[in-house]
Amino acid sequence: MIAESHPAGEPTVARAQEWGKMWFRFRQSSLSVAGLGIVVAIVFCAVFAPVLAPHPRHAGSFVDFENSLRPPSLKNPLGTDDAGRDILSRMLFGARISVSLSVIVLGIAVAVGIPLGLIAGYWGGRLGDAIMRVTDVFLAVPPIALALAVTAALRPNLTNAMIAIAFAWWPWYTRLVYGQVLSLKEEQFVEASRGLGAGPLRIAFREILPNAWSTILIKVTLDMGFVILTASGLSFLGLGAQPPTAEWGTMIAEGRIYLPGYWWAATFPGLAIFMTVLGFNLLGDGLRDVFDVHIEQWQAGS
Amino acid sequence: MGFRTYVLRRILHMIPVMVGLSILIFVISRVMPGDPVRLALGPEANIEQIEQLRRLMGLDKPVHMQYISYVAGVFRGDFGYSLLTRRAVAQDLKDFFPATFELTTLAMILSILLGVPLGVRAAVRKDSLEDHLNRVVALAGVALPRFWLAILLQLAFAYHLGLLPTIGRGPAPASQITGLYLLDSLLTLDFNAFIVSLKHIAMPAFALSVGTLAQIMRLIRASMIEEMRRDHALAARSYGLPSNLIIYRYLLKNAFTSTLTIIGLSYGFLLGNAFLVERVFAWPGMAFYGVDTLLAKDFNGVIAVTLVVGVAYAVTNLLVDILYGFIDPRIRYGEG
Repeated sequence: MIAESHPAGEPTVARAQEWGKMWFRFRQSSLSVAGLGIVVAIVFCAVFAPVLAPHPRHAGSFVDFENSLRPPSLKNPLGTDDAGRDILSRMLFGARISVSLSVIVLGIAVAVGIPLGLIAGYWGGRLGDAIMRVTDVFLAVPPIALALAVTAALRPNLTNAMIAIAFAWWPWYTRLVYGQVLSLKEEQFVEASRGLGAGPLRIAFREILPNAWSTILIKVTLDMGFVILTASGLSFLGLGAQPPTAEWGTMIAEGRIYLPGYWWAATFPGLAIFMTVLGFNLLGDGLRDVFDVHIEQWQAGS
Repeated sequence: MGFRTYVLRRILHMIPVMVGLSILIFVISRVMPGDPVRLALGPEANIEQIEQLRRLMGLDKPVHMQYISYVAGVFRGDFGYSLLTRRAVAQDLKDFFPATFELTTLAMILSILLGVPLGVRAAVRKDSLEDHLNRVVALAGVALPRFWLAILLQLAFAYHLGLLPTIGRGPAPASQITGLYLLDSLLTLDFNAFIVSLKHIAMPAFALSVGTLAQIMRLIRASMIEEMRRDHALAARSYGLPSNLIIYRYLLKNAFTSTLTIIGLSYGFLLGNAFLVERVFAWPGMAFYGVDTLLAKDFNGVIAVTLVVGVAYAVTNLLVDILYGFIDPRIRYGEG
């Protein structure tokens, strides 16, 4: 997987073959391919929401009370909400919010968690101990409970929900990388690199980290879904995105008031969350099989 | 390292983590924008009233002093005063915690009772249609937003079929011993009350359990498959022992041990998801109260709920470890 260590000339060929093999193994499982399909579809919806949505204006604070709470029809395939907005359009824009939120949260979690895990695992010592102790504190409560406590300190909106979730999420990456480093640092190639006179920074970032990437990648894929799940939960409780934002959790909370008569307003956005999380889970599972990495689903925070 | 030393060390390790957690939550709560006291007293309150309540709650002192007196209070069982319910937070916790404990515990029992046999069946019929179906169900269980599933259950079983009550915990049994309605009604042999409580808890407990159920199912499946490949399974089979006996008596015991480790962790996720599920069912538990305190910026309530969640999580993990030691002597005697 790490091309840098191959002699010149060979790596591209070797790597291409490797990728080919991996893709072949990935295709063996129809569930993995289904997961990839779902993820591609969701990302497509997120990117092209303004084009795909039948009523793009309905994503915001648009109101049309004459058409409120209409059941699914040709004009509004998934019905309309209490303000007369097209639910399908709002769901498409919701994909935008959820996917970008998840990417940003995990971007922060990876950027903070990985260096800390590397330091704690490779250098250890007092600093490493201190890092792991702090990580333990953050992991002492389930991520959603910690994120909730943080939202209490902030004004409830989408950005702050993102901050709160990132705040609760980075320690999972620190712990993951820490474990990886501890097991990798005794490996012979690290020993060899040290023997050749490589400095600790080079060993940590160029030798150890590249070998942990596949594990990290799988966890990020699984977590994409779990972060979306958590964020929609916060919004559902009224502590994340606020109406009229077309966020899936917020839409469910708004639609729930009109149960059971107007069932479509609360049920369809939930389906979107479910499919998205399922897609990322299937894809993550597929990647895990391909890379043959042992990382259990329960290690991801859901 | 003996088992007792191990347990002792685990307990000692809990202390700095809990101290750290309390500091973390305390600091978070103190940076809250807006004045919770002003919020609680309403727009009509005058400066003197606000100042008086601030003094009463110790908010006029420096933050580290506030923290020290808070911790001193916690050791006396005093979590301060709730601006939301206008009474001691400790009293609120006493009222609301049993409901959450009952709900999460039942959800855990449900996950094990359903997850283990389903996992075993999937392992025995590996690669059959049933196994594939199980895998899909397991994946769906993890991916389902619990609050959405809760709403769907409400729609189906309460609104359309009218089989179960939509929300709430139902009337309290005549005599309260533990605060757990199911247990209390059983202890007093009040079976009518038991049925009523069971009807109320059925949907929330199931909605809460699906994720854990799915995880246990998959883990049992994986470890059973591994167990079935091992020599002692082959030996038992060649002795002609009935396959059910081999599976449930010998193999499941080993497979379950490895599943046990995730149960403590899953309990944390059950607690976390309780914040959502209790909301949908208006379940009068600690998580419901917790969200109310969050929305009202009642920080004494927020801190207390977070700490209780942390302690409950840590204690469950400790109990699981101890149980693990009893089941697997290698751990107890320090070989594992």
